[in-house]
Amino acid sequence: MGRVNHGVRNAVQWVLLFAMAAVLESAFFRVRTPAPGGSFNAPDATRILFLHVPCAELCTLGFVTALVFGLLYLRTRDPKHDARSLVAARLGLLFGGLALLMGMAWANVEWGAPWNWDPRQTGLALALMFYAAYLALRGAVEDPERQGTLAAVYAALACPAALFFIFGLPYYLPGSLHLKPGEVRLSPEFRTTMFASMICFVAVFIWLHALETRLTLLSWRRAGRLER
Amino acid sequence: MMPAENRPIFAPALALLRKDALAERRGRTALHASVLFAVTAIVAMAFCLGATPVPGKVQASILWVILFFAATAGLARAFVAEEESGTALALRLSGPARAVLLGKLLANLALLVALEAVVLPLFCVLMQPPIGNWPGFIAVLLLGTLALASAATLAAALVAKARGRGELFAGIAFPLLVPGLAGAIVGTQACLVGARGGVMGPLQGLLSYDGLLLTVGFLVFEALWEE
Repeated sequence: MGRVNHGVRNAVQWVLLFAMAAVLESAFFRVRTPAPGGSFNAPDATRILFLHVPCAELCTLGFVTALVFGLLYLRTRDPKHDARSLVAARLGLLFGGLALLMGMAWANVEWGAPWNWDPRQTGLALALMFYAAYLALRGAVEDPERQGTLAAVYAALACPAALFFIFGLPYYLPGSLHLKPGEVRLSPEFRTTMFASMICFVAVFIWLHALETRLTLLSWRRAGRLER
Repeated sequence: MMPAENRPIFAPALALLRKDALAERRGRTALHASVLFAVTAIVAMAFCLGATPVPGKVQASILWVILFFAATAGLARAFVAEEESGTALALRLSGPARAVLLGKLLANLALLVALEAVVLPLFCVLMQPPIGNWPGFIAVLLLGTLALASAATLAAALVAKARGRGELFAGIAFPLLVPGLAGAIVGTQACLVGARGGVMGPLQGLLSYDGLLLTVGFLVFEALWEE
């Protein structure tokens, strides 16, 4: 958002604040959860899904964004793209960790234990390990250009594998405890709130990404990393 | 320089394979490390288990985990050795990047096949896996080996440019390898006597992952190599 007019940016941020507040209000106070004894063991706990699902969404978005900016970096060699790729991977890791924690809290009341070796749960944990290795790889390279190149190549290789574990495997393996599309009929208000929450989270992601990128570039400039 | 697409790939790749085979015949460092690890692991496993019957599912996992770490011991050196002996620059001048990747991949494949030629008979004798579907098992083995070799070669190329090479390799290779490893383990389990579910599903999964890894690998390797 570096070039966006200051007034416009302010307005967008206020809109986002109100939208987010409305989503939370709806998620925790307004939406009627399914009746007990129906599709869910702990219907009231389904409210955490309004946060859990968008976080998982941002995790995927972060990893894909890291891949896209990584490829752009390989093409242009512009350190800004490298910073964007790094920040996206970090945010993906952050939101993936949040999704995992909230999923475990939900699993504890709904499925009876925080860890069930559910394919999607395990897959997300593996994908997070991939990106922890990504940060380790970056940490092991000092030269900035080489670091950017290695990270971009690694992101290009790891992103498909991570997506396979988050999306492919749960459909491929039987016995996932996660809901599949159409498995449970959710009320229209449930779906609307979920959709709104996902859009708000994407906006938060874009904002965080822009801020973090500026911070990262500032710290690189300070460390003399951008001078060539 | 000619555009990368127009330069010959196979001749330089085969030359690199010959060179690596020669170096391996003189030094045998990679093969020794891998085989030593694999044999030790299998014998230790067999001794500890004694006559305890091991479920086939566990056996399939043991086989692939041993192959994974044995490969880690040997294949990780593919590019590190070039950097350490100072021959990486000469290699960079000798041919296009894709030929180098192909040559190293072929060399690692040959190494893995040699490793398996020792490991598999030993494994079959000591653990006696109840394999029912031999053609399926061989297909899984081939595709799994290809996944192992391509993931290890790409990880080796990444790690060769970083500090702390040895420690980093397993962490970097693991993500690239897990889909292949999972497919190979499930596929091997499906080939055992009395297994439920066909071997075609895992084979398709392995084949598509091999294709994905090789395609992405060959696309991005140039950026990595010319760095």
